[in-house]
Amino acid sequence: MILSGYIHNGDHWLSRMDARVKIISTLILLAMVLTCEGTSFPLFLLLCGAGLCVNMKIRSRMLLMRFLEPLFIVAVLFILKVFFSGNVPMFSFEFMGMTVTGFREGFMEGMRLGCRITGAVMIVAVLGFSTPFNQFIAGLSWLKIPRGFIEISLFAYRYIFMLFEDAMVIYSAQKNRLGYSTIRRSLNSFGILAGALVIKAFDQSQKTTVAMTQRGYDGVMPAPEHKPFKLLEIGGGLSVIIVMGILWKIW
Amino acid sequence: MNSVKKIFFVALICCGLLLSADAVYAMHIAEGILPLHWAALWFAVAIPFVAFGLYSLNKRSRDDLSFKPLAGLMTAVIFIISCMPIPVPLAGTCSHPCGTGISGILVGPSISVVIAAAALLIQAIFLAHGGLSTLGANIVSMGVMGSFTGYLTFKLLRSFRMNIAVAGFTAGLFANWATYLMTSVELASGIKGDTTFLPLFWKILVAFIPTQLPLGILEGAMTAGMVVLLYKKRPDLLIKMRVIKPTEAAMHRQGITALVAALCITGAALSAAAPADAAKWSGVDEVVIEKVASEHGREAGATLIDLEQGDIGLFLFLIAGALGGFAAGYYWRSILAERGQSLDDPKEMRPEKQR
Amino acid sequence: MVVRLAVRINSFAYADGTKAMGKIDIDIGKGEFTGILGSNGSGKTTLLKIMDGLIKNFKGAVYLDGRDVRKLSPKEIFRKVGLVFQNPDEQLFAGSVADDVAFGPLNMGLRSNEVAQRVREALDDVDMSGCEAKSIHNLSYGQKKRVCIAGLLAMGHEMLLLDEPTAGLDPMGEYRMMSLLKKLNTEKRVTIVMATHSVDLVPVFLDKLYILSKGSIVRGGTPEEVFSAPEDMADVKLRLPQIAELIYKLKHEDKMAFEKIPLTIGEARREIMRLASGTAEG
Repeated sequence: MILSGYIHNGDHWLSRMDARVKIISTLILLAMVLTCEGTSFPLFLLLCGAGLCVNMKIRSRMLLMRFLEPLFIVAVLFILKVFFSGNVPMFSFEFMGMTVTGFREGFMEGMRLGCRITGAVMIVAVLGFSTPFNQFIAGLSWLKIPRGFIEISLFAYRYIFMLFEDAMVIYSAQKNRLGYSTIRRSLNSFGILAGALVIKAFDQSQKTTVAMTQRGYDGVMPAPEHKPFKLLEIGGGLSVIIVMGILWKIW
Repeated sequence: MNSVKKIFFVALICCGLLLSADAVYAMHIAEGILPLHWAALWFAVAIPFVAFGLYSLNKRSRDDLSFKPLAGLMTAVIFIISCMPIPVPLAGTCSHPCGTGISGILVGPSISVVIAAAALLIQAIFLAHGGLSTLGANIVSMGVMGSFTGYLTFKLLRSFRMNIAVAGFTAGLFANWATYLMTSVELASGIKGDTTFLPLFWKILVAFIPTQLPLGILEGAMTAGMVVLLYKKRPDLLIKMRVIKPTEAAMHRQGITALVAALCITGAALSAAAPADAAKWSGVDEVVIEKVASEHGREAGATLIDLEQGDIGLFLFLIAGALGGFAAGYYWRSILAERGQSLDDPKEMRPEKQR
Repeated sequence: MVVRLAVRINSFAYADGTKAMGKIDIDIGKGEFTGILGSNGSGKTTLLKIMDGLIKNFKGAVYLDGRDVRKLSPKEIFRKVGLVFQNPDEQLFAGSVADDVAFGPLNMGLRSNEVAQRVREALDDVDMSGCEAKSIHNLSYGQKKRVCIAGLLAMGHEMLLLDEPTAGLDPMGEYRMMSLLKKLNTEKRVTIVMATHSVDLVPVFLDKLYILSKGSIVRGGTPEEVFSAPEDMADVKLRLPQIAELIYKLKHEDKMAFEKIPLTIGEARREIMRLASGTAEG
């Protein structure tokens, strides 16, 4: 499991940009991609995003892993659209005694869907690679996301790494004792692993509460601080939105 | 191409894709799949559930300061569980459980929706599992459907004194399948375009059967393993999270035994008092055995206990009903009893003897 | 000596009946650097939790600045004294170093510029300047321990209780941690009580020492007074500092004319040089 927080490049200009500007820009660009009728605009965003990732020195394997699942979904949906949607045949072939026909409308719709998905995934990937999670959450709190949700997300982010390491230790210990040698044993071992993680989570929550209480915690975490906006960053964000808006309209 | 062949073709293609793909993921709808209006609609559906979940969370945190850290840590656990690769036997690849059935059982469905929302947000930002625009839809399928189905199934089965492993298995299974069903609804409605909803819905449903059907069983087994481990090692944890009552641990075995016994007695009595009409269709006893016996000079005699004479059948039915009713009534009091006393000493709650 | 913490425990047992503490009667003076030395299971952590007000159902009393801790609210206790846990992962819960250290001052209601200043100063005190933006999970074990200390210093704590602060650190890490604590004690006048079973470091840095065995204090005093005989240490499953063991054997078994048993390498070197120069003259 790879969390891009580990490979966040703090020196890049995009990483130093205010998280609130990045979040709002991302949401507007996502809305544009989702309402786009053509393929050019999402493909353009895909290329721009790929360029930014290269500039941020994100490894190509990392980028590919981000796209693995969406590409699989795109492939399945593309096939469903091509072979089951439309009236005008585009191609056909024989397969195991069946005549399989691909339809033009389905093909175009599948292409539009594929471009939309990959373009949208790239926009969110750029946000994820350029924004540390605590800054992202601070940005969400500025957008008036409820405090309880913010607190849980912060706790979760802090302890994912710790619990993941614990899970790997337990997994390795089980594997060394043939805990995954058969399907049945694998299921049993996974169940024990899940139960052990829950126990660790519960015990850790008690200890964390003691630690927080002795530093003044009374049930509500202090609100994240918001620095003033920089005009340059707001200007930059607006410019990108306007340019993309024009391209969205044209394409 | 007729519909059967179409379905076969789709299944074949999907199996091929699955075998070639590195990993198949849980039922997250990826970024960009849903058009804007559908994405907004699912957000509108999800928000009231998340809001109520936050209200429940804040209420519980006022009584117990450790509950918010616990919810955060459970989010981390669900995140990790939903990233764990489990080999799917029929598909020949790996997939990931949803995990929301587990959180629904442990913290309740409303708070589990919040946990699912937080886990989905982190997954969307860092792992491209799901997306920001599809967050609402994923919260509805995994958070709402998964949590509520898992929780309600577990509670219903436990109310019938079902073994905790069976209840956990069924809850995990149904939670996974409910998530998969809802995701199919969301996908079909989002990508249907000008076509009708139902044919596309069935196609999507069939397309994901090879992975989701066995995965549901796997998730059920994992959920069962988890609740059994907690039940054996840390029943205090389950009591604190209000998954089981202090009295449930001791009562459940007796209750299920009594219920089964009552059912067996009732069933036996009912079959013994079967209507005479059943005798119209002569079995091998009359057709073969009695005929051969008669040919050799041995006629069939009267039955020793003839249930068609007098009220013997009725009497037996009365006895069975009384026994079954007594057993059920004796143990049903525990269902209607007040919430059990809180036991401070966790040792008293262990259902097995200490070794 | 102004007594900051007066500990008068008669007994304490856990809910399952396990007796954890016996008779404890110790005073922690203002500005002292005190050690609680004991083997595993001797009750060190339990004693620290009682001192910190985390355990209250014991028989006896603990007085913080003359007031019974059982009558004080958690806020009143935690404004003055803080406990650093043995495992830093149990104590660090924020995403970044700055967020975690700022948690306490923010809860105290301080303004953001004052919070930022306290965070800077606290990180400076523990030699973690420049690490404000680092994620907690990217820190080493020793760095996490220092951030835990910074989190309490930022609240202005005048007394720190530390549960095995050198546990899990490499030898240089242990020395750096003890040097840091000594610096806080001498320069910032922070009163420090630390639980440990690291006998080699204790005489180098600590002013006062108590030996804890089976929940009761068996010896107390300066390190020289406490580390007088190895057989006494063996009874409580501890040992003398290694250099002291060597000199003890040389003095009592090999009859070398050491005047006293040194506890540190520096003292041993002076003693050996004194003996060597005395032998040369003789």
